[in-house]
Amino acid sequence: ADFTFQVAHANAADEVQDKGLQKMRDLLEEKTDGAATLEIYPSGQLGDEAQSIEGVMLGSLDMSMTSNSLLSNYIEDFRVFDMPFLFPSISALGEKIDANWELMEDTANGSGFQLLGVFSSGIRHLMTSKPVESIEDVAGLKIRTMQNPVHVEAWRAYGANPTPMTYSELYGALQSGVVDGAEAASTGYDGMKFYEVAPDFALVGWLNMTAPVVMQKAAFDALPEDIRTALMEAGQEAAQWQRGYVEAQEKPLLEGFEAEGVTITTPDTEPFREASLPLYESELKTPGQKALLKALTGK
Amino acid sequence: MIWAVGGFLLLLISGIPIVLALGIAALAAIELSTSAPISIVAQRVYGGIQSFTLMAIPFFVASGLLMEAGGIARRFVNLAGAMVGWITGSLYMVSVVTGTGLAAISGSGSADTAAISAVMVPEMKKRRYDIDLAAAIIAASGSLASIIPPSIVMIVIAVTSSQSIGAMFLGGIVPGLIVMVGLMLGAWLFARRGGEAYRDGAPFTFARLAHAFREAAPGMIVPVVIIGGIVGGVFTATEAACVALFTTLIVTMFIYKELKPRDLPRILLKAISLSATVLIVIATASVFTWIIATEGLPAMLSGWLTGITDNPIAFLLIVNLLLLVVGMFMESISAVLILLPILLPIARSYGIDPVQFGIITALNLSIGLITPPYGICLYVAASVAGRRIEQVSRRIWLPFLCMLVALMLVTFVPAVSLWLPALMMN
Amino acid sequence: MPDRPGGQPPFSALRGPVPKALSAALRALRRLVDGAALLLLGYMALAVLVQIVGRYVFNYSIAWSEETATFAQIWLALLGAGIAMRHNQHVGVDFLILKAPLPVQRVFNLAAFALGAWFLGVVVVGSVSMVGIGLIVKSPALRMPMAIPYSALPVGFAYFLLEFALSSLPRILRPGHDPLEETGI
Ligand code: NA
Ligand code: NA
Repeated sequence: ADFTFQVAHANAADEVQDKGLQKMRDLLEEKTDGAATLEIYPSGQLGDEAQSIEGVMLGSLDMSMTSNSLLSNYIEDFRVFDMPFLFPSISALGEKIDANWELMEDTANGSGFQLLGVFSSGIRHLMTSKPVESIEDVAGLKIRTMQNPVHVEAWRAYGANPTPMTYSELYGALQSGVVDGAEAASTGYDGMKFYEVAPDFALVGWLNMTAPVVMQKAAFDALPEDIRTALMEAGQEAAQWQRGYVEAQEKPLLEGFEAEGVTITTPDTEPFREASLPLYESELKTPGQKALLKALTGK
Repeated sequence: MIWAVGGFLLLLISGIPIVLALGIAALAAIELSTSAPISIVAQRVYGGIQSFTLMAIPFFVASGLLMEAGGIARRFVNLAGAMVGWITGSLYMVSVVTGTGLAAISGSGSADTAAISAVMVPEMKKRRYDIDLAAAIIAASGSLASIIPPSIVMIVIAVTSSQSIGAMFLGGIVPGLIVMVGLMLGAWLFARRGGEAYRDGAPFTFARLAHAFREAAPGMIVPVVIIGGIVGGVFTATEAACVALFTTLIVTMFIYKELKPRDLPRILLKAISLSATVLIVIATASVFTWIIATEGLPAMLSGWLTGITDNPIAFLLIVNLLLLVVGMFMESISAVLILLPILLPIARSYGIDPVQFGIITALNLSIGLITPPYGICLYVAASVAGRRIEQVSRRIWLPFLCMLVALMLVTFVPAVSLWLPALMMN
Repeated sequence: MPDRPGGQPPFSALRGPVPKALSAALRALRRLVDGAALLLLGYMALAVLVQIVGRYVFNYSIAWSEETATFAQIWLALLGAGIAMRHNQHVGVDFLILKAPLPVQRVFNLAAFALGAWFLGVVVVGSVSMVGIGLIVKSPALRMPMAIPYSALPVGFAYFLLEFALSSLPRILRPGHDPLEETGI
């Protein structure tokens, strides 16, 4: 191929995010008759998520796909997508993103990135070693979160003792009881076999996490027009396919957990949502964040 | 890529620090075979050490050095003497048991080797022991520090392979004890036929043992804090290392009262520079692994290996041979950082447990610490004993064989490394 | 453990007011680096301790202790690399080269120095653009500029380069040294 774009991500090979990139590669090859393709590096082979974003900024990597929680450190207005209970379902959020694509793109451009598509990292729930039936059961639990201030404050608001911790330490920490639980998507709960050490899964659905695919804006602008068009189309079509795939995975995954002996609970999510509302005031302050939130939710 | 590897090997023997050899080779490969901007080098260096988990390294190094400066080695020698000083070849036995004890508080072997040599070698010379064998056995006893937790090499292995440090630590205990028993048995067989010099044991008494145990007991708090803390779910490995550091300060300053506040800056600076040599190798090796990954070397090698054999045992034997040869010439940390990202995915595809594979790697590289031409524990023991490497090397076969037997046990019997983690962590 | 005592500044053999001032400046710089490294280690230990105490005693985890301790570790590792260079503690394999005739050693030492300086220099130059990004990007927990940890790269590697030059120059000028003075972990 004349154009080979290196794309790195930190998820395991053949996980849902990797599958989305494979789809994007196939679509890109198809649209360009093989003139352009993606070279996918999974599992953080080329560095962690922060490094892959900065690689894109510095020009040492063509493309990155990371969780929004990380990217929002670089595209501050995307903090909106870190907010708990933004949209209940992956497809509802996806439709809103597609409907406001120009604003999404402009926002990313403002920070020097070209947005190609917005994948889903799934809806995040709560895994623990004792059943959580309601928000009261969360009180005082040591819950591992990502090192993201919105996540930490959200879990504090739910009454937990949020404990940021390195992901690779999490299995051992759950096993030995350094933490009582962690928030995670079903795919991660399945992929890392966390059900072995945290056999209770409460479907709180507190975060609908996105995973944007980005390039450096300057590098994108330097490409021929047909390649740019093909990249944009492949990215968005792959994102639509990937979000549908993630959503369709949810049910078989949950059934698989039950077969593994996992206790699945469905606590009332309303108290969680209410506890999250003050965060929209305290965390979203820039005009860009407010505009994006309004475009997406009408509020 | 071939150029990078060849250049690296040439640089390796030029006497330049390995960290620079790694950096130069990686940089040359980037310039020659990619179009990446050179800022990738700085970026990867940063990414390599931006890890909270790795912080266990400076903490463990500092607490190990403080313990040794604070009189722990002498007390462990006395305790080992009370335990095994009655056996034929007593001073060999005492060296091995002391090495095992020190291994449980320190993360790497060269300082342990120096401490044991300093106490034991003069006594062994006086009693006309075979001093080359003494140096070889002391070097092997010191190398136990990388197998018995805490272990810097195992932290690096665990981080590189995304495994729990706690499981890796627990996995090393049984193999470490096997090496200890093997070394004692080997030394005993040698000493039994070695003549009058080795029948020197003092009779065993409970009173002496009890006294020596009371003296050494505060020093044993540290391994209890580390293993108990991690297994009991009180701390993560990094936190355990931090608590071990504070515990060591309390033991050496207030219980043993041998460490004075004015000694602290000197010892801590030494800990800083020793752990920095490890961390900077980790940082620079991540430039190297980046170029290895972008050039698709793991896939190439894995295709080649799986073409040779589909038998996991045969694969492990090839890996053992490779690592033993690498360990002869290279220092452990950089060997792990370069080879593990290539070998581990292949091991996984054969269905080998990553913890078992990590222990196999650690054990191989521990053997590398005592094999000529380059083995840091062998260097230290020979230099304290006042012997040349060539002289000590003639006796290295004995500890080498003992460690090889342990290695084969770990290779063929997964339970040797996996039984304890499974038992303690569930 | 056999290690070489902290290096005498190589200017000491020279005479005159300029080398004297340089030598004094070097001593001051080294004292500054040592002091900073000790403070960083102390901070790391206290930050982790506070994290444990917070979790168990106050049932409150501090989000920034892990982050700031990691930043301190990056500074510690990069300054420490230069300190280790000063004490000749980086592991290297020099038993072969020491068997070579002195002119060969001199050529190898010169080449090693030039290549090593190339690598260290590339990191210093390459990290400047990272520091530039770091002025805009904020850290996840404390939201401090990432330039704070990133600038450890140019500073630490420049110091590493300085100590590398100071230890290499005598070796190029008069090759051949004691093989046992190297050490490591
Ligand atoms: Na150890
Ligand atoms: Na060796």
